[in-house]
Amino acid sequence: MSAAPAAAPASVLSRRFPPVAELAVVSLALVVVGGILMASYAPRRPPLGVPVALAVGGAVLLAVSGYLTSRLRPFAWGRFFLVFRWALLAYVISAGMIGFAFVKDHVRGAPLAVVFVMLVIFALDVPLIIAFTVARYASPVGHAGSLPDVSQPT
Amino acid sequence: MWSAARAEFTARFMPAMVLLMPTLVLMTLAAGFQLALKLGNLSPASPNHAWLVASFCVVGVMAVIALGVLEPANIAVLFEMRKPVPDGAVIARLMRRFVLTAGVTGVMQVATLIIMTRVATL
Repeated sequence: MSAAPAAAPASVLSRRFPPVAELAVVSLALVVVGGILMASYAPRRPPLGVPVALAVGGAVLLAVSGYLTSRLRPFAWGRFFLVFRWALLAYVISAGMIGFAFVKDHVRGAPLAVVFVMLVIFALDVPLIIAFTVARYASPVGHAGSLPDVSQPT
Repeated sequence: MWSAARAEFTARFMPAMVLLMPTLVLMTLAAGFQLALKLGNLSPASPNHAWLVASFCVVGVMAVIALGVLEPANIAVLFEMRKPVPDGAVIARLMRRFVLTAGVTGVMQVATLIIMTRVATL
C-alpha cells in the first residue's frame, strides 16, 4: 500500500442509482423508532398500534429497496452477494442477541412477535445498505465501457 | 490530500473497527438497558424515566447514522483500499459522509453528557 490512489474513472463515480440505500435507511429508522417506543414502556406491556404501523412501513420500504436493487443491470452482483451474506450473518447474530435480551426480560406474546418482525427488518436492512454501498462503487464483472444511468425505472 | 501513510493507516484500522465497534455498541447498550431495568430507572415512577427515554432517542439517532451511513462507507472504503490501485476519488466521496454527519454525532454526544449528568444527580 505504498502507492497513492489513482484518479477515479468517471463511469463509476458519475453513475446514478435508484435511492436503494436511502429507502433502506428510512426503513431502519422506522424500526429503530418502533423499538424505542416499545423499550420506553419496559417493564410494562406496550401498546402495539404505533410499533406495528412502523414495522409495516419499514417492511414496505425494505421490499421496495430490494425490488429496486434486483432490477439493477449491469451491477456488481458478485461483490454484492459476497458482502451481503457476511453482513447478514453478522446482523442475524446481533438481532438474535437483541431478541434474546427481550425474551430474558419476559416479553411474551404479541409484543415479542412485533419485536421479532422489527429485528428481521433490521437484520435485512443493514446488510442491504452495506452490500449496495460496496457494489455500487465496484465495476460489474465482464462489463466494458461506460456504465448506464439506472436511477430511473425501465 | 491523499497520502500513503493515510492509506496504510486506513487499511489497517478499518477491519478492526468494522469488527469491534458494532459488538461493543451492542454489548454496552444491552448492559445499560439491563442495569436500568434492575435499578428501577425504567419504571414510569422513576424521576429518571424521561431522561432514559431521551437517551433511547439519542441512541436511535446514532444507531441509524452509524449503521445506515457510516458503516457501509467504512466497508466500501475497505474494499477500495484492497485494490492494487485504490481509487482516491471514490474513497474521498465515501469519507465525506463522516464530515457531513459530524455535526449530528457531535450534538448527540453533548446530549449524552447532559443526560448522564441529569441521571447521576436526580
